[in-house]
Amino acid sequence: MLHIEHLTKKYGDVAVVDDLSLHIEPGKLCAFIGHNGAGKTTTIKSCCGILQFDQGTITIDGLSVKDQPMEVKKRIAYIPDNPDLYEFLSGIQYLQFIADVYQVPGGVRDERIHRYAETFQLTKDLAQRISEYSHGMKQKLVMIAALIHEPKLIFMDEPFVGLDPIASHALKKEMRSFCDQGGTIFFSTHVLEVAEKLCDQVVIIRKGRLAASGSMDEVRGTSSLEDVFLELEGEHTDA
Amino acid sequence: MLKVLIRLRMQELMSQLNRRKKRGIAQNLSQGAYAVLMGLVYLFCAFSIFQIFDEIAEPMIRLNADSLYFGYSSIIGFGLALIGSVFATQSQLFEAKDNDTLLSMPIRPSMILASRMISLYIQALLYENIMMIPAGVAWFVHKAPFRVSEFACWFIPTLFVPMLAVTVGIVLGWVLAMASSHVRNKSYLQIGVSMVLLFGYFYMFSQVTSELDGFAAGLKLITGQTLKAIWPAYQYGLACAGHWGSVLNVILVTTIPLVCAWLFVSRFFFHIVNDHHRAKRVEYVEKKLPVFSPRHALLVRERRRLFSDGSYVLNSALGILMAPVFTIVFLIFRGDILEVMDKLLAGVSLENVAEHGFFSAIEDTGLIAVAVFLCLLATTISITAPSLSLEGKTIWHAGILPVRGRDFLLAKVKLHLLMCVPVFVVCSTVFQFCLPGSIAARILLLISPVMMNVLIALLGMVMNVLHPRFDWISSQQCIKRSMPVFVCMLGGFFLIVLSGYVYIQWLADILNLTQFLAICTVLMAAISAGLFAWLVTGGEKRLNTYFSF
Repeated sequence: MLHIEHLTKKYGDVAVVDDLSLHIEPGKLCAFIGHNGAGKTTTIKSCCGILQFDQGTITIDGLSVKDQPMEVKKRIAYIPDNPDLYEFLSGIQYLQFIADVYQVPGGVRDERIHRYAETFQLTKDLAQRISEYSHGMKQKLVMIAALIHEPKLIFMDEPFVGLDPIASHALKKEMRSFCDQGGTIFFSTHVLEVAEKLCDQVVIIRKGRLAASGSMDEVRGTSSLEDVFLELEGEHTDA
Repeated sequence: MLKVLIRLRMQELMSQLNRRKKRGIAQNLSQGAYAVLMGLVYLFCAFSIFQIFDEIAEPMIRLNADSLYFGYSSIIGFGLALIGSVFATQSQLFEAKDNDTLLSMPIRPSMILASRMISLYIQALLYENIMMIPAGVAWFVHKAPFRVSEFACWFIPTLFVPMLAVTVGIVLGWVLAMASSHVRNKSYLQIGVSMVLLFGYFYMFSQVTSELDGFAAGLKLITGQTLKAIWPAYQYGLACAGHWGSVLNVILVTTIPLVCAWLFVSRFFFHIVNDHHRAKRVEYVEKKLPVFSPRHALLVRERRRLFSDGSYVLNSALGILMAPVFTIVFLIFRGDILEVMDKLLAGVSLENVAEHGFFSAIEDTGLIAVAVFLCLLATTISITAPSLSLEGKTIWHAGILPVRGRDFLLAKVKLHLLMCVPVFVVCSTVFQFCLPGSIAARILLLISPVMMNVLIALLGMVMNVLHPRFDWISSQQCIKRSMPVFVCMLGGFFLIVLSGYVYIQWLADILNLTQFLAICTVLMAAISAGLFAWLVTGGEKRLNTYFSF
C-alpha cells in the first residue's frame, strides 16, 4: 500500500529525512516511532503531498505522490498532530465541506457522519462553532473527517494526544476495525505501550534514518518495544 | 511588573522585525517600501485634512474664535480616535490570546491591563492626530507671531484627549464583549455597531465642518451653546485658547475616567475574560445534508469565512455597500450633485467646460464620470487580498484535500466577484436611466466597473500568493495592515488617478473620454488576463510550497 524508496528531505543543508525506505502492506496497522525531531512528521507530510521532498519516490496504492497527487489524495486521509481546523465553521459544516470535496454521496455521508459522531460521542456538539471546541473535540472531529470518505490509507500524527480515555479507547477500536476491513494506518506515536498492543508492524526512525522496521514480533523479539527503542537510541548515543 | 509587561510587548514587536530580517533583501525591501507607503498615506490623509482647516483657520483667527475652532476640531478628533480604537480595545483587552497565560502567572490583572492600555493609547493618539495635528498646524501657520505658551496650551491637552477615547473604547468594548458572549453570530453585531459609529461620525464631521465653514464665511452666528453642552470639548477649546485652568480641567476630565475604567475593568477582568468564552450552546439535530460539488464547497467555505468576521466585512467589503448608497444619494440629490460637479470642474482646461458646464460640454461626461467613480469604489474592495493569509495554520487542508491549488485560489476570486459584480451592475443600470449619453458610453458604464472589480480581485489574490503571512496572532493583521491589501487598494486608486492625469495632460486633444475609457477597459482586461494566467500556473506552484507551514 505504502512504498517509500530512498526518501530524502532537507531543510537548507540539514537532511531531516535521510535515504529512508519502507514498505507497508494493505490491512496493516503500523506505528512510526522516533525521538523528537527524528523526522516522523516530515515523513508523514511528504507522504500526504503537503511537503515537497528532495529525493526518492513515494507510491501509495501504486500511484506516485509526486506525479499523481490528486489521485493519491482521494485515497488517503491525514490527521495532523495539532488540529488546526476552520474555526469559523460549525462541526457539521466542516464535515459537510470535507464530504463535498471528497464527493461522498448524500445518503452515504449522512449515515457515516451519524455513525462516527456517535462512536466519538460528538453528535450533540456538531452544531457548535469549531472555535468553541476543546482540543479533544477538535481531534475527534478531524478523525470523523478523515474517516468520512473511507480512505485506503490513513496517516495519523500523534493521534492520541488530547483525547479523553473513552475517545482514546474508541479510536483504538476504530483503528483496529479499519485495518481488519482491509484499510491501512501509518501513525506516529510516543506511546510505546499502545503501539505494542495495537500494531502489526513498527518502523523506528532515528535522526531521519531507518533504525528498525518489520512486524512487531520481528522488531521486539523477546524483549519489549520500549527496550528495543531505548537500546537503539542508546547504541547510537554510545557510538 | 508593568515594565516587564511593556518589555514583553516590545519583544513581540522586535521578534517580528527579526523574523523579517531573515527573509532576505528582496522581502526586506518590499517591507520597507510598504512602511514608506503607509507613512505616505498617513501624511496624505493629514494633508487633506489640513487643507480643510487651512480654509477655516484664517477667518476664525480674525474673529478671535480660538475656543470654537479647537473645541469643534477636538470632537472630530475624538470621534476618529474612538472609531479607530473601539474594536482594538475589545480584541486586545478582553479577547487577547495570551489572557489565560498571563492570568495564570503571579501578575495582577491591573498590570496586564495597564500594559495593554498604553498600547491602545498610542493607537488612539495616532488616529486622533490625523485630525488634531493638521488643525493645530493650520492654526499656528495663520496666527503670527508664534508663542511657546500658546503652543503648550494646545500641545498638552492634545496629548490627553486620546485617553478619553480609550476610556469610552473600554466601556464600549466591555459592552460589546458582554453582548458578544450571548450572541451566536457576533460578526453581525460588530458590523451593526461599526456602521452606526461610522455613519454617526460622518454626520458629525459634516455638521461640524459646515457649521465652522458657515461661521468663518460670516454666514452663521455660533453662540457656542452646542459646544458648551459637550463640556470636555468646550474645556479643550478654552485650553487651546490659552486658559491654563482649562488645561488642568482637560487633564482631570481625561485621566480620572480612564483611571476609574482601569480600576473597574481590573476588578472584573477574570469575570469578563471567562464570560466571553461562554457562548450559548446549541444542540445538533440530525438532518439530511445538502450536497455540493468540490468547487462550490470551496466557494461556500469562503463565504462563511467572510461573514464570520465582522472586521473582514467592514474593512474589505465596505465599497460594496457604498456603491448602492452612492446611487441612492445620487438619485435623491441628482440636480444638486450635477450643479456642484459643474462648479468644481469648471476650471479644468478642456474646451467649453467653463462656458457650458462640465456635464453638458462634453458628450458622455456624466456616464464616464460615474463609471470612473464606480471604478474608484471597486478599488476599496479587498476581499481576495488577505484571503490566503487568513488560512493561517489551516493551510494544510489545501495540501491534503483532493482539489487543485488553482481551484482553491479561484474560489476566493469567485467570491470577490460574486459579492461585487451584481451590485455594481445594478448601480450602473440605474445610472443608465438618469444620465444622457451614447450607447458606447452606456456599455462602458456597465463593463468598466466590472472589469475594475475583476482586476482588483485578481491583483489582490496574486499579491497575497506572493506575500502571504500565515503566522498572524490577530486576523486584523492580515485584513487591516497587510501589504497585499494596501498595495491592492492604493494601486487601483493610483492607476485611476494616473490615467486621469495622462488623459488631461496628453490625450485630451486626440481622444474623447469615451474612447479613452474604452482603451483603459481593454487594458484592464489585458492585465487581468495576465494575472489570471499567472495565478493558475505560477500561483498554483507557489501555493504548493506553503502547505507545510
